[in-house]
Amino acid sequence: MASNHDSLMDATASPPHRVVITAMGCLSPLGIGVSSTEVSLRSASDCITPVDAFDVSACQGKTAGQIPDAWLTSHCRDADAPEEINRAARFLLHAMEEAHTARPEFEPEIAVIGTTSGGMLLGERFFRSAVSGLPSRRAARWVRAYVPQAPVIDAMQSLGWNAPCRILSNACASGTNALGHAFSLVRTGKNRRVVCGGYDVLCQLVFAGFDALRAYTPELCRPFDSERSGLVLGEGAAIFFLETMDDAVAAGRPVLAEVTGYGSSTDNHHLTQPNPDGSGPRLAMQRAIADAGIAADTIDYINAHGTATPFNDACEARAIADVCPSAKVSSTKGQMGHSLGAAGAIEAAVCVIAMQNQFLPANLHFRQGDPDTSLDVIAGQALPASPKRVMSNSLGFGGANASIILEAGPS
Amino acid sequence: MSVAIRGCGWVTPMGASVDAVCQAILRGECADPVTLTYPDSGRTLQCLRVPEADIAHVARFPRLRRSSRISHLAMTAALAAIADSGLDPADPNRRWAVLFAASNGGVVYTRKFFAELANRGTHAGSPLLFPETVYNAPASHIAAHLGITGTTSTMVGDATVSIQALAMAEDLVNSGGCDSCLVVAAEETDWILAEAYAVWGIGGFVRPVFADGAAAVVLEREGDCRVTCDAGSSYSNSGEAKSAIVRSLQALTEISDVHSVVGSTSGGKFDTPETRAIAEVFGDIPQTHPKFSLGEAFGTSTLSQIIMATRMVQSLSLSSIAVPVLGWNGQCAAACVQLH
Repeated sequence: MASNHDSLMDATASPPHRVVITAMGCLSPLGIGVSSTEVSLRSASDCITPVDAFDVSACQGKTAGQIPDAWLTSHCRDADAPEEINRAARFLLHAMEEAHTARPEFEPEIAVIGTTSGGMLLGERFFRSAVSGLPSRRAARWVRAYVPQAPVIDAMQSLGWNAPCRILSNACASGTNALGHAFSLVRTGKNRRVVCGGYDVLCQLVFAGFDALRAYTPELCRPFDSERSGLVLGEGAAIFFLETMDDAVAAGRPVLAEVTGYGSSTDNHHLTQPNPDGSGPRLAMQRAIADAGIAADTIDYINAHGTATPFNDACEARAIADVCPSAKVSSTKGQMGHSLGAAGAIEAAVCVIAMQNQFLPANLHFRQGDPDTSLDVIAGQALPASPKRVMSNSLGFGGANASIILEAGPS
Repeated sequence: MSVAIRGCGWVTPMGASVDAVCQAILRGECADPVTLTYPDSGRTLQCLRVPEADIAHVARFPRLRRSSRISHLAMTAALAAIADSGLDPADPNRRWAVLFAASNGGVVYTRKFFAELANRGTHAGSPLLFPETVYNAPASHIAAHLGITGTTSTMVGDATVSIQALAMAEDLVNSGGCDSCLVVAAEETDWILAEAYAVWGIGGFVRPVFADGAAAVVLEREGDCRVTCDAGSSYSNSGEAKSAIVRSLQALTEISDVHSVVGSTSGGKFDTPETRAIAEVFGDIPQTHPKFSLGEAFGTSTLSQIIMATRMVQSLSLSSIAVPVLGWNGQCAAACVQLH
């Protein structure tokens, strides 16, 4: 059984460790599992579909990146729970199982998971039940599973893990924050084995929120295009096993990628809008680069946050142009939508897949960028390449910005 | 690994003075309940609420004019902790971080927002309400008000969330990620929340009594009063919960002789594992359980336990106090507050 009590040691006493990803799992509208995700990325598939989970007929947006129920074949330990109430846990279990299959001996000391809406899908059901005056027999389960850590614990217990669970909820930056915090825990020696990642499930409340803000596009999601008109939501999960390079090498385990830098910043401009000058993401990127101890022009590729909202993309493009003007850039949200708290984790998985398989993912539906910024956008099709060092950006409500730097693992 | 507590602040149903409320808790006093009414059925329940007068001053801040009660509570506690620390967040030579912990988040605005959708359709959401429903809205408001551009992070979970936040702060401070870390927890009450826990079978109508409030601490690397966290583990039943707390408390006893316990029991069905764990590890040890005075405010209650323990080691010549926490949603954790 994993012990977390080693954490009481003084982590500052030891030098920083190199931190590596030795297993990962993911699911998104691109596919279930790393292999099918790679196929969709290579073929630049558009996986956005009409929303069918709730009525959007009067909404501005009508599409989203959705994971078909038929893909979800894993079952959580809570076996008598109706499947639909455990959608988030099943997302997580699929991703954890994929990583666990590659590294069955890995037992995490702690889980660090990002999410934005957590179990809101269940909160919605509970609310409808509560105000109907006809409480559902399932309501107690909905409440128990509503708390964002519940699906994480359910999924972990299905694998026999009892590690503590740390949920970060910094809106759309949550997944990258989780990876960054896990990186810090391993690097400082506080923990040797950390499972981290992010998840989010499409729900009516969040869809309505972005629609109400007029941030949802009525047409295609076109990150960084000059005529972009907004985002489409998505859903999914990605999970990583993090440990020290020393442990991985000593055990002869394959290294998928190395995490070398992380930076975060807080933009105090507005609760939902970034400072147009790009200072928020610029600071996060600069901090990540400084943390990694590298030169900005050595970054081959940036997986941008790129939601395709006018404000986000203008701000982020400005920051990228300032900090890493030579990097190739794409946002993969045009393919799979914006999965909020899962986005940073899924996009980090996309970066690892790209480095391992020698290509750069496409930025779908891009035609022409803003006239005042010049990004090297990978338009329309995946690009054969040999990226060695990449950065993934996430920007969220509340001014949460995060950047993480990943490097190709040793051959 | 530990981190120093430089300042404490809270706003509770019994008042906003840390020392006065701690004394009242030690005397066994309880907050006066107020009545919450269900909108349609007329059903009522008792809960404990922070008086409006104690948070009214922050509602005038530019970022908080349209924000929810939970942000007002969080801001009030944050400013109190900073004042207690004597530090200035505007000091250009200090890098600050803000960690916010919540169990239920902005339930009132979330309920109002979703009620519009449920009644009128997905298209009918309010653009004013939605941004305040995200878990990290209070942290964002605090960072903006204080001008903090470093790490700002929100953590969500059961009552153990504040131990997780303290542990993350430990990591941030000791790894050089910041010089000062403001950890804030806040919770608000609402009929939908009480109904949820009642449906779950946990209570809300007799014991425990739900409460709102906020608590905050300022942490730094150096200082005499220190907190050490054990991030604990997950559990799936009562027996596992007791064993998990025992492991956490035993880990803490390895670094200190514990003289007292500030516990998390609140009169509900989840008390038994903690009570048994304390007895197994410490035997007959002096105990204080602030939730019987301040009510059940989840993660906020946990940070209040830490503040209570801090004041007790500072004022009662107790060198070390254990703070066990049994969360209602599958997690146990513990901390130890020591005076060096």
